[in-house]
Amino acid sequence: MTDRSYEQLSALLDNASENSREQEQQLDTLLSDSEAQQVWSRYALIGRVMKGDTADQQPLDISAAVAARIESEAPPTQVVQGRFGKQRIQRWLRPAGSVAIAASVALIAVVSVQQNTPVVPEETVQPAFATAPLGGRNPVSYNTVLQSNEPTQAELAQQTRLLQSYMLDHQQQLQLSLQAQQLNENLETTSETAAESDGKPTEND
Amino acid sequence: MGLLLASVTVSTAAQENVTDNASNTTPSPTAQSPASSAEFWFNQMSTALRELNFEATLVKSSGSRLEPMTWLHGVYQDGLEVELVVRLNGADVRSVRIGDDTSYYSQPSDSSYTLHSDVTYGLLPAAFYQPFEALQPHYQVRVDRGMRVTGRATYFIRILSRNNDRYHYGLWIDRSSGMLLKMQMTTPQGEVLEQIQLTTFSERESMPISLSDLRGVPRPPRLHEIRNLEAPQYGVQAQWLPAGFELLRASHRRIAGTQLATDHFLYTDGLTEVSIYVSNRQQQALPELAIQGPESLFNLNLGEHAITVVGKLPATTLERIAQSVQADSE
Repeated sequence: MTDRSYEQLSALLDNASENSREQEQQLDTLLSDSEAQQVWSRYALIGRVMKGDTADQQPLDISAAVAARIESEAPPTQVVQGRFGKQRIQRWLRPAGSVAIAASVALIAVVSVQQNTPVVPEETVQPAFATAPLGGRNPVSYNTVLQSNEPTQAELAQQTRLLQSYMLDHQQQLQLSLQAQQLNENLETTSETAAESDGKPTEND
Repeated sequence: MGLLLASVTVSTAAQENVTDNASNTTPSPTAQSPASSAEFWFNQMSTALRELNFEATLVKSSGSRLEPMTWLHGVYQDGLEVELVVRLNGADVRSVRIGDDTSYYSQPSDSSYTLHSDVTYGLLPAAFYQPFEALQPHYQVRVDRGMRVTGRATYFIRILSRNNDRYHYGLWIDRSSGMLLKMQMTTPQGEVLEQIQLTTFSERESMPISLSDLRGVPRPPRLHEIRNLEAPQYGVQAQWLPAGFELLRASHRRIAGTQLATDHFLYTDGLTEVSIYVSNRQQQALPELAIQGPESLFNLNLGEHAITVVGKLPATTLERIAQSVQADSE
């Protein structure tokens, strides 16, 4: 659909068309075009929300309704095509059922490790860090091998994984601290000073 | 919930207008001293990032990596902000920010989540959305005539750390809209580590159409954090950080991915953040090493502890932080 037809639809919705003939024409278009019908229903929904026609506390239900609608919608070929890839909107706007910050942040983190670490020749990147915990016992030979300055492939892989996990953890903490600041900006400062006085003896300041 | 968010955004927008007006009461920014004029343009940018309706494409370069993205921003008539950032290469990662909630959608792995934050993480430093005052004590800002960027006349702003112990930023700001068109993060010596370059930028009268139906979309689950964090256990702490860094959070936990037990301290100076990790040296078993890049890392063995410092800082600064770690004197 073109921008023009979006405008026409919107005008039709608001009864803002110039004359009745134009309106009739637009109605015809609407009735014959499934794409236009989908856009219509979305605009109508947006309009209702904006005008406050929906009952209080309704927005949550609306998103559920939208979700249900999206679920029931036809495959991507029939979905409105926009300048910025609307055909994919249906797919990516469906949220995942479970929360796992790790994997998606890992995408970012792994990327930065990849470009940052000439030190570590290991190239393989695993978006999900499905690994055995590093803590606990290392192989007995580990330290000796390291002292000879020729770590094995396995050790390098393990080191890379650890470096990546530091980068990943740092980025996660940054995001969480953004949220913490947003949630509780006033309390933040009090808990901050509390944390500081707890963790740091005064003579060191 | 949407209505609630809207009113919140309106009130912050009103605050921004106040500060904006404050800087406008002085007749002409260019007539002032370079520093305050630079602050003026920095604040123009932070306002533009919140208030403009625009469609842009950009390339982010980090080391040898190039990453194209589309970046859309708009404000609903009731003042609610919407921002959409889409990565165009590789994994399909998108973020949608509506008011104070930011959702990160990723494909194909089903790990999307929502955070309560009025800044999209990963594109620009959060400080760019705030007036410059917050950075004032530790950074200075300079303005100059900028080159032509994305076909537009710009002002060039430099943000420099006062002690040269942090990375510097160069910003090219559109003269007519105040929009950020290009950004460079460099070492104090001038080596470019990270860049953002807008390749197209169109300002719109109203919200871009592609954003108009985002308001009702389902959001992934909200990520909640455990309230009661465990206190640090190893009894060691950094005794030196560059001026202005303050502790944001401290805890003992297992780090993401490898489950290594660590004490973690996160510090910020308002623009730059740094993490200090302390773990058992035997368990960690990393050699001493330094990585300098957009995200630097320094690892140091200190007695029975391994100290790892991570952040957007020069490796030498991270080293000095790591070296300063000592047992808390009781």
